[in-house]
Amino acid sequence: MTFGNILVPVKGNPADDAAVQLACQIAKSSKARITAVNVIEIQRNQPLNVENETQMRDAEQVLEHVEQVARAARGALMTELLQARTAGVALVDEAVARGVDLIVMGIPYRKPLGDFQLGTTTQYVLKNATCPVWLCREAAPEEKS
Amino acid sequence: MADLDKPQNGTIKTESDLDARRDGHDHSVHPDLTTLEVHRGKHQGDKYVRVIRSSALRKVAPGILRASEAVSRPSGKIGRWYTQFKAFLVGKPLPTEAEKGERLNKIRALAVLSSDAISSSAYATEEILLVVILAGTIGLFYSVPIAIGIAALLAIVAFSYRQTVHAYPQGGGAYNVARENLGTPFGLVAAAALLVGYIMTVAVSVAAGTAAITSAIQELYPYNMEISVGFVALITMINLRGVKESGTIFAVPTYLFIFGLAAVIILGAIRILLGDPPVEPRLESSAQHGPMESLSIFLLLRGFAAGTVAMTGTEAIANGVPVFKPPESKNAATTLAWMSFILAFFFVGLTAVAFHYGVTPHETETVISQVARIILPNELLYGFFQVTTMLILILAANTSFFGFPRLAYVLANDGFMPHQLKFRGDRLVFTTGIAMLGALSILLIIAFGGSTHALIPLYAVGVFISFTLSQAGMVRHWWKTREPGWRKSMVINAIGALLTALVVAVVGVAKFALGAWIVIVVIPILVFMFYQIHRHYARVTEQLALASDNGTALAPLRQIVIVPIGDLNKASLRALSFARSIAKDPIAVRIFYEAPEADEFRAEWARWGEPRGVQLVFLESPYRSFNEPLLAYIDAIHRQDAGAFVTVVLPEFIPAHWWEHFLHNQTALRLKTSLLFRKNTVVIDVPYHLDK
Repeated sequence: MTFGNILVPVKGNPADDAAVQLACQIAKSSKARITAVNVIEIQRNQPLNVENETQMRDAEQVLEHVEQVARAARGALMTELLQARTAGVALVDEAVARGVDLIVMGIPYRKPLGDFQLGTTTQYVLKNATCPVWLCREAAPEEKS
Repeated sequence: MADLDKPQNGTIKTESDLDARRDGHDHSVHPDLTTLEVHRGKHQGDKYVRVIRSSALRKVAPGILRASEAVSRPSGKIGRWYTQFKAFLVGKPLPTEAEKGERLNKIRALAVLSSDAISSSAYATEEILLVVILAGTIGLFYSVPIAIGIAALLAIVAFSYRQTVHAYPQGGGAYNVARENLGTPFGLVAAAALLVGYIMTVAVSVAAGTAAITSAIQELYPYNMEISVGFVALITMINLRGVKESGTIFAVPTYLFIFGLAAVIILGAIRILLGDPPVEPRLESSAQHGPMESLSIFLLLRGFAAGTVAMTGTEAIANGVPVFKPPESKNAATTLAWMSFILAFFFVGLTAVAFHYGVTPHETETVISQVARIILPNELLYGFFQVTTMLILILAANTSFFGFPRLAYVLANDGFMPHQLKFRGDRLVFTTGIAMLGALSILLIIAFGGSTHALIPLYAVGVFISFTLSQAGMVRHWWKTREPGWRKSMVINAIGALLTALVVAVVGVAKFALGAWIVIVVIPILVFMFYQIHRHYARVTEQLALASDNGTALAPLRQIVIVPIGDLNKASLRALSFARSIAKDPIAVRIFYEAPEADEFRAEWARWGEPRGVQLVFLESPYRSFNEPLLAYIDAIHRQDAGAFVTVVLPEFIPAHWWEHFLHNQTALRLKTSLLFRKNTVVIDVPYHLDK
């Protein structure tokens, strides 16, 4: 299985690192291009093109971090910053616009209501992406006996 | 779409804006390099915005862009190899915010900043014995009291510097104290003395370490100088890797020496307490034929002065307070106290043990080596101790690599040394200062052929001049500030100033003929140089400073644009277009050597429709020179309109391959060079890149 264009959604959580490292490994074997995408979600009471300096700076820091992770994994990636109402929609549309043939997503292990749940962004991407989606879930914490 | 129609901060690109840009009608660039592009999703009403930004320059706040590490990475192959080689030698570049992480804790700082002072305990006892032994066995009895006296002086100097690190947390040590309290000339004398001292410390300590190696491996003796130069180059390179890294690398041998010598002294003390009998001193070397001088106050003072080499390096901590982790001053003061205690303990302890066992200077074996041989139980431990002694002697140079660049930085900051010395390189160290110290030390080693013993009295004089000025400055400081307890502190500093001044006088007189006079010559030369540099910077500042009546309005400048052209081609036409975009009526200047050339060009000019708005002038050059007639033409314009700027727009085609440059006569390059420093002349290069 080879891929030419990989998209890695990143959000600034530890699971991003594993996803970027995995994407770098895949890219090495198939000489694929990687794009890390961070989506700033804009509230409906604000215009979509609002420039929130704090959010943008945080987003840039996330992208800079994943660039470092990729470099440490001897890979290279491009970074993209998007603004949207919902991250999932923007990710799927961006993947289509870029002709992406694989999405590698890192997801944290969370149990917000006592049971493990995928976030809404992950669910949307899984449901709507036109290309394969690989999930890279962070390790579950050990259960206390 | 309603929310997208209103531009935000002028950067929004609606779809119509984007269409316009694609059509080539919109060339505006936002200074922040950030543009928002609207994209439609696959579902009706889905929209998202792509933030188009530079990956090399990241926007961190409105109007503020930060260059990423990628910007420093060269794109060419040769540049990449060079960068990789440099990273191998000195490490990868560190961002400025990593500066705090590069700071030293007390353990590392003790290793970096005290190696000079602590290493001097390896030879200071010997320096005393070499003098007092001139009076025969009786003289040796005074070695311990002299060592205790020097330890007391060390305590006073250390006390003074502890006050200095609190009063001057920005570093600078003796220079800052003397400058602020005694006046700039005294500050500069202290600085000059210290800089000379630092250079000599490197040369002397590395040469001493090399001598230890070549004594052990005699075959290496002919390469003494080359080995010393190699060591200086190695220490320079390690220091260019950053303070923290060099601190880590050099901490191991420093602490091995500290623990080794402490063990020797403690074991010696235990054996003495258990009743180990004293040994009658064996008098050899210069004193083997009986007393050569009578025991006099001056001889004891000379012994005292000789032993004060133990104190060189004490000032390094006060010079480098900012390199400590916060709280900087407190940590520096604590480290200074540790260093002084260790040094005093080693110096007095070693002298006492050496005295008890009757150790005297020997031509082929140092005093510390003799003591270690007596005390340590086996040859292996003795050999290991000797290796650590050799390493600490070489590493004494490292303290100078720390002190010199920082002092040079402080002086450069005050405009007394070139501003390049303020520059911090890839690894957040003062690259220029480190390189300068390395180069000057290597020069000194080469000049003395690798044998730098003659320099020892010189640098002791320099260091003690700075001690004296620092102490005297602190006396004035207490007098001015009158802080609680000022009387006691002032008296201690005054005693310190007198004693260190006495050392300067004694060493100066005793070693004047042996080279101490050089310091007397070099220091005034350096101070003169500092003043000349300062005068230059003052003149520059004065000439560039905005006068209060300048206001902030930018007055338009008159400019006359000329375009020197050879042939009429795509490169020259592009330059003419550019000239038209900045001036209404640029002048195309064609230099010709023979009349038919001008006719041909005129015909060509007419054939291409005589570029609109451009005036054509021919300059005949019967002596076939190109630059000179053009320069004469520019001079003539300046004479006619002295206030105008002449902007020379140079058409230049760039070959596709680097080697193709050699096939062209580089007219543009030569012209640029000759125009570079001309008054009221602006040079603009309009490149035309050839594809193949």
